[in-house]
Amino acid sequence: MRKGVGISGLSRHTATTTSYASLSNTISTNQLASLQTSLDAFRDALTSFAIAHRADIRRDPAFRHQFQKMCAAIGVDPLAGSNGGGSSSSSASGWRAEMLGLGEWDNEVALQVVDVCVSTRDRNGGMIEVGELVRRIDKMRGGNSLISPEDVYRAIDLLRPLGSGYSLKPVGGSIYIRSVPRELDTDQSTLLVIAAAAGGRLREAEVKRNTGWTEVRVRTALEDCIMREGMGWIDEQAYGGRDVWLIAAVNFDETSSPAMHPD
Amino acid sequence: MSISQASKNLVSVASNAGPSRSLERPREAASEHRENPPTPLRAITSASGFVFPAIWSFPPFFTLQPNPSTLSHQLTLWTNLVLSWAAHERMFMLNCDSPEPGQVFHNKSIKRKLLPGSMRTLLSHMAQEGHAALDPPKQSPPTTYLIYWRKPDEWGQMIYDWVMDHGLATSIMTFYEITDGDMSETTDFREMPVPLLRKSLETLVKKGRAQIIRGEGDSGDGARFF
Repeated sequence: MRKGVGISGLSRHTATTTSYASLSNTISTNQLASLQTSLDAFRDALTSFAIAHRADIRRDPAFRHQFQKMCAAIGVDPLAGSNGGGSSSSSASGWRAEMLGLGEWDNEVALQVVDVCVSTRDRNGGMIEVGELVRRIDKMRGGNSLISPEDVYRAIDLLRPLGSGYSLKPVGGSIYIRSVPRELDTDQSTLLVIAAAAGGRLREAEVKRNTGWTEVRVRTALEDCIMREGMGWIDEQAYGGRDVWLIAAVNFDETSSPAMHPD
Repeated sequence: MSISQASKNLVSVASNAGPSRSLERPREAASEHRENPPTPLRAITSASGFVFPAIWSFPPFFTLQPNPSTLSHQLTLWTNLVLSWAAHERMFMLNCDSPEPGQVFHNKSIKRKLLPGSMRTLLSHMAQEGHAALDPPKQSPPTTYLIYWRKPDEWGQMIYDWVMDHGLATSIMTFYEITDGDMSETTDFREMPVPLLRKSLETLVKKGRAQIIRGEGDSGDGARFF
């Protein structure tokens, strides 16, 4: 195309841009309309599926998770999702609550999440690994209708509007639930990563080696874990000095049968 | 040089020693210090059949915690543990200064002890909560405690029921007969120390169901039940 110069060139350019824009609008609108139609169809299908399998969805955590993934994929239920993120949308969760009768179930799980987080806060400083949280909730529910980490994530999203400050915190390979509104600073998150790899135990020298921090910074971070956050426990009888244990990273096995004491 | 510095030096000497380190370092210390894969802490059953919970194998459990809310949780855990352990072992008294006050205070497999100072704090906390009592009542510093895995009024009731079941009502029994006689052999209050027995009987006296009769000396005392 000949490059337009002068006033006429400019106005021709404007005209071209305008017509392109209107064309793209038309296409988008058409596409949107057809998408909307297929979405509606899909939603209908999903609804009848949900109604047919309501019992399974409530009972089986794996099934429920699959179903939620499907919903999330078409944006029907933005609350679902393995990252636990996403904003809450009342119409979508309303659909979920109405069609599935899951609203009550969700609230129940959310309450149990709060219950476990609050009742273990004294010992873990408000930091609990999702696996442990799930185990404790399952125990609380008496073993029927097990829950999955995804249920916990959704419960936490459900709690968000209450401003209760529950949040997810990925540390190392695991996800922790933080139930006090204060953010962990990065130093403490780093400590948690190191502790998680060592069964919960932190040694000043090891932390220093791992992080390259100064001694003062290591000490302050450890001290904060103990005194400010309440998630660190001191062991003063450690061989060769003082250890700090981050209880959230310790694996307490309360389920398998007890070991025999050598004495 | 402080003890902790000394032991740090010991560690560095040992780890520089190469192949001979196992000779210079105690075996247990070496195994405690290897880079451990995170193993879960499990409950442990003692030789006498008591099940120590997993927290008992958590090393910091044996250090009283500086954070007040952590400490309060820790003292609750300890209180419950000591009470259930004492009940299992039928341990009526604890002495904070004893070198081996009881297995619960010393986990040999992780080499941790509740040291006398911490034990004092724990027992005085238990006394405040009504789960223990200084005996004798005035001690400086407070050292020996009765452990109430059953409260005196529960003991009183138990003794009263036992007396009635054996048709011993209205007869006078010496303290010794109650706790050490042939008939009490299978009871939980067998060999109960006299101070605790006295407290238990006093709860019955208050209810008008027993009377303590002075004899000569402690074991000479007796009681009558109605």
